[in-house]
Amino acid sequence: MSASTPEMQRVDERAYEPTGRPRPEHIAPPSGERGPDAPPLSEEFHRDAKRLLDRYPTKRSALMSLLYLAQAEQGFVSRGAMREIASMLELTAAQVAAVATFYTMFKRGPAGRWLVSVCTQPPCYLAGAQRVMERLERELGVRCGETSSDGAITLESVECLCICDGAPVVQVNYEFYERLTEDGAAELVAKLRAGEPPPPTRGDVPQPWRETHRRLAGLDGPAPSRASQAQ
Amino acid sequence: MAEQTRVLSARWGTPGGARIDDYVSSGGYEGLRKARQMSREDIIELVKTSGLRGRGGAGFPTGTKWSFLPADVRPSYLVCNGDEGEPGTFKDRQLMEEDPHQLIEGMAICSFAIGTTEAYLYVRGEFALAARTMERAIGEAYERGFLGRNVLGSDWNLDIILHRGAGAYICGEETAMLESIEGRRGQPRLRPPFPATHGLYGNPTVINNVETLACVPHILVRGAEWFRGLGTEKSPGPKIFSISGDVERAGNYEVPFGTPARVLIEELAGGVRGGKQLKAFTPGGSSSTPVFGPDKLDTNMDWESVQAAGSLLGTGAVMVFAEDACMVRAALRFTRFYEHESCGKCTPCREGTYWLSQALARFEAGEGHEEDLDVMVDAANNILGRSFCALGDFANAPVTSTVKLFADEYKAHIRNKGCPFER
Repeated sequence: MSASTPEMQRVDERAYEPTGRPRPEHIAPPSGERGPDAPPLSEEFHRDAKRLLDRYPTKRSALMSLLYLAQAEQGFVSRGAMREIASMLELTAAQVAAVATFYTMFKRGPAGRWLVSVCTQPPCYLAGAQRVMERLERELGVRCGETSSDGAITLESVECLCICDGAPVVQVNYEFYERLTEDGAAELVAKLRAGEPPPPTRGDVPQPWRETHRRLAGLDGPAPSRASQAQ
Repeated sequence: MAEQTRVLSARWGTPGGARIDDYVSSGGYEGLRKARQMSREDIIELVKTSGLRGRGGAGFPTGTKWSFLPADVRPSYLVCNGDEGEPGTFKDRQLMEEDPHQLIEGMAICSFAIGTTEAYLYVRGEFALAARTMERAIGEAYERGFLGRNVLGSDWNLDIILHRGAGAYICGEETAMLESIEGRRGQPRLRPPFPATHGLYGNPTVINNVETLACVPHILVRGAEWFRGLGTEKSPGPKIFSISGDVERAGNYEVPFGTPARVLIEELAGGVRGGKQLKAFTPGGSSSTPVFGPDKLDTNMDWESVQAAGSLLGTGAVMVFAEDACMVRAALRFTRFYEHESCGKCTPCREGTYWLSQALARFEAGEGHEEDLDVMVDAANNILGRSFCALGDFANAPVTSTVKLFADEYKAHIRNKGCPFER
């Protein structure tokens, strides 16, 4: 997928972006109605979803977790997933779409197996984030906000990742790579293409898309005892 | 050479410091044990006496916030704000990654003091490592009886539920955070009513920042007098300053409130990178905090002194810009941030941040006009005070303060027909 969204092509915006680059707000069409679709969610999804629902006093609070879980299964949040989740939570599809379109970590179209996010805030730009971004674009043959032609890697720019002592900072599936040089960026791309992400500067080696999003759904977290309600 | 005062960061960097065994063997959870022997009123009184103020940016007295909760409305909730996103700030992430139990203990003490059995920890979605670390630590605390049914053998139960964000800075705003936990778009609520009476699920709620709650176990163990012995009279205690940008040693530095900016930048962080001259620095992140020039280096870093010098302490994020950094580009990046993170609910913020970033981008592209400087300041001032929450207000200072301090640099962009800086 290398098409950019209608928003990204707004002429006034592109004309005055200093780098001449449209900003990647969305990796897929912004509307819940126009997005791509996918097969129905699996039985496994519904089993896992039940566990997540039990964590909260209201069903609706589990919505963000369920969107992560759907994204783990389908690669993005499809229209069908939004409808299924809506009926699980007794919401309208519009209420679910409103949330899915608000938060940038929910993608509404297929993204790569590896999501490379480049910070653009001042501490990172002072440390050369712009050059890192340009090198990544060259290596991947895409512009920021697009996915490489082999479908492996999606490149996006993000706001402050709050690890400014490691500037310039890049995340791969939300794991940190600090003080990345231009050559380091090229090496990172080569390793991601080979399916072998290098160890990040802290934390665990990035997991592929599905595992990343199952973790983000909170499936590994402890379940509350809810002792008070039981009494 | 200045030294750090390591209280909250004392366990950082030690191998295994994040695990419960090491935490307990180094005195961890003693504060919670002590709290369980005290009455709720006494704990709140102790926190009030300590003078602890919120570290999330506003500096509201923590004990007073706790005391606002009505005693007879149940359930009540504690929400811990771990949605750190302020440009240049990285203390809460490190507090969660490297000493998760300190935060859990602080949350438990607060929950007991305000009489809640259900606490929420909202962790920014992109903080995958911090959230995993907290999940593991919460699990450990359940196993050891610091959480769950009958905490420490008492008749009091406590659950901590970790809720991940999904990429929206605005959820760090307390009422937007409540909306987000309830499964809605993170758009701020109109106040009043305040969260103290109508918060999460419409019930009384205390919302505290990670660093604030991390202070609480230390106050319980070492006392209010000790806490007041650090920092200044009105800004007591230790504070973690996040120093980044053009310095030799960027990082989190914990010092008492009131430490001069010069000590932070020149001594702890090793001065401006490559021996260059300092052009500007932010005393507290980009939000609502006008940038300071080198003449403000001797400002003491506490709420009152920074405000008296014409800015705000905010989250304590010190971003340093060297002589060859472009302040127009800095203002543009900051404004892009607010434009991107504006939730879109209020027109002045949504449209104002958009037009500001257009105008700034025009300068940076060398197509600016001198009269745009006035237009930008006018637009920025028309956002101020005209939106539900403070995000619109935040966008004002990066523009107005750089136009005021660095008008020549804006004009140089016009003359030069583009950015005159190499970087």
